[in-house]
Amino acid sequence: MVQLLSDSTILCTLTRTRSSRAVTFDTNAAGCSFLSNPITAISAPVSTVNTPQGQYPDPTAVEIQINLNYASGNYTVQSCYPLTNCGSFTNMGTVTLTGAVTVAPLLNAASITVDNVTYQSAASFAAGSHILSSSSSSVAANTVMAYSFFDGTNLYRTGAPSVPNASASSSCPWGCSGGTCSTPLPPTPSPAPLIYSVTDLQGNQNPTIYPGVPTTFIITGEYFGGTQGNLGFCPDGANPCVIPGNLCNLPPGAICSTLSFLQWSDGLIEATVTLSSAASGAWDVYVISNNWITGTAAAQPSRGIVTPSLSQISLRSNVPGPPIANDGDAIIATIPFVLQVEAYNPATNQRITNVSG
Amino acid sequence: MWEGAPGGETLPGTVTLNQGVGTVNPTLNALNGTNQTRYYIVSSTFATDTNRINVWFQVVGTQEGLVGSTTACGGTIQPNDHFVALPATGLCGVSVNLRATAGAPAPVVTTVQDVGPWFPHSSATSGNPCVGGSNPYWNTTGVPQAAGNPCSSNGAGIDIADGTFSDLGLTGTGTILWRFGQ
Repeated sequence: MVQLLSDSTILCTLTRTRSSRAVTFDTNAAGCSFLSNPITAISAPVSTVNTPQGQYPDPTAVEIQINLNYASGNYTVQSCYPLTNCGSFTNMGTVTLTGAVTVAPLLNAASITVDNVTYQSAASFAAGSHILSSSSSSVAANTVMAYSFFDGTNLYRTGAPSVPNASASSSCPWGCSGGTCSTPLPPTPSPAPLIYSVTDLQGNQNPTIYPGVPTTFIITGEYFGGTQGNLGFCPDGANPCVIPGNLCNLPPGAICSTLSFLQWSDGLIEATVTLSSAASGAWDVYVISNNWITGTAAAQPSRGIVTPSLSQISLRSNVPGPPIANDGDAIIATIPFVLQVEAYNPATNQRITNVSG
Repeated sequence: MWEGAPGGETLPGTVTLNQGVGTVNPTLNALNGTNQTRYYIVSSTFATDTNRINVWFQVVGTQEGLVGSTTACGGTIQPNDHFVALPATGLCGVSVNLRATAGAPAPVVTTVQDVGPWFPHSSATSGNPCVGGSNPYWNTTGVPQAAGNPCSSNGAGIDIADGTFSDLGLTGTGTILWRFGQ
């Protein structure tokens, strides 16, 4: 049992992370029943977050940082891995705690246990085992929970709504009430989405995305899921790369509100996106599958590269019919004619074929 | 966005690009005054293109003849003269470009030096039963008032002086293309 203060933080370090995992905080023990909570048996806040879908280098250390900010009060904090007690979740293999577990100053009094054994400096446990960190502190009301993880190079962060008793939404698939979270698990969990290629409509790798212009590109791979998911965009190598609820993370002033999907199948996505006119450099594109990830994630990262171009895009128009005279576009009054409009790159004078709309 | 003109056209307001290109199918009927072109603007969130289109009129052209007569612009018609007449007043000296057919290699450029054919005409005569004021069809429907009008024997929209008529390679009455400008 711990008492959490505002912005209290729990840091855990895990190794051999190859796929998504979940962490729950359950003050009512409904989601992770191995731990009871006699203090918060009434209307306890519960929230669950999941690591972003994806494949991360292996072996690597994954740091899970948990910031708890709930209504003031005393709560038991419980972190579970995997989520076997909160729904049917696939065995994700052995996890070993290594090194020192950093606990934020306000949680110095916290205790960490693995399968009810006090954590010292390292511990091994099998799938279905549990990491428990508990402490007690006062926390502020109506704040949010977030966590991050580290793949050895980049620190990734994500957030999840943590309003107690919140209903499920597009940004938070979990609906929690009275200490119990409804399961977002799909009927058929899938491995992590794997991106084989990101191309323009001509098959060119790492397509140029023209800032401010609706641009269409194609992602091939597998495990995208049979139903339309979403894409996330982050500057290549961004640290942190925040993937917010709308999965369209761009710098201030950036837009991707026109993200739309022309096709979505398990192995192919055709999408049209408008990046900010200020976007530049390479961007990672993430495939977000509606399916959960199991420990059988394949060997490639679920990210591809798109490259916003700094070159301008221009429009030109002409009457492509046979000329009346050699002095410019011409038509004959009262007779319908064809007027063609073309988006082109003035630097190359070539049509930009992945622009639609 | 299209330059407005009193042509009564319904013009497309949007064009959709697919793989970088899109088309629309407008019809233009008229010009403003004696402008050579109509202009339009294609704009998007990322670029704008302003362009102009030369507007030609395809009408029946008749050989003027009338050598020795005085034109509405005050000149005397010479043998093998070079000018045209359009059925509206106020155009004396305005340049006109003519072609016998689209793509004809040699343009013929001349000026308006007379008024006609058929209009304006204040009262019916045996030679011209048509009655009406100026008919600047290039500012309205694009079709001469004489065309399809029973008062006119040939529906002509332009008279062409003998020399110009010959330069175009025409004989008798024929359909020609003309526009304002050099």
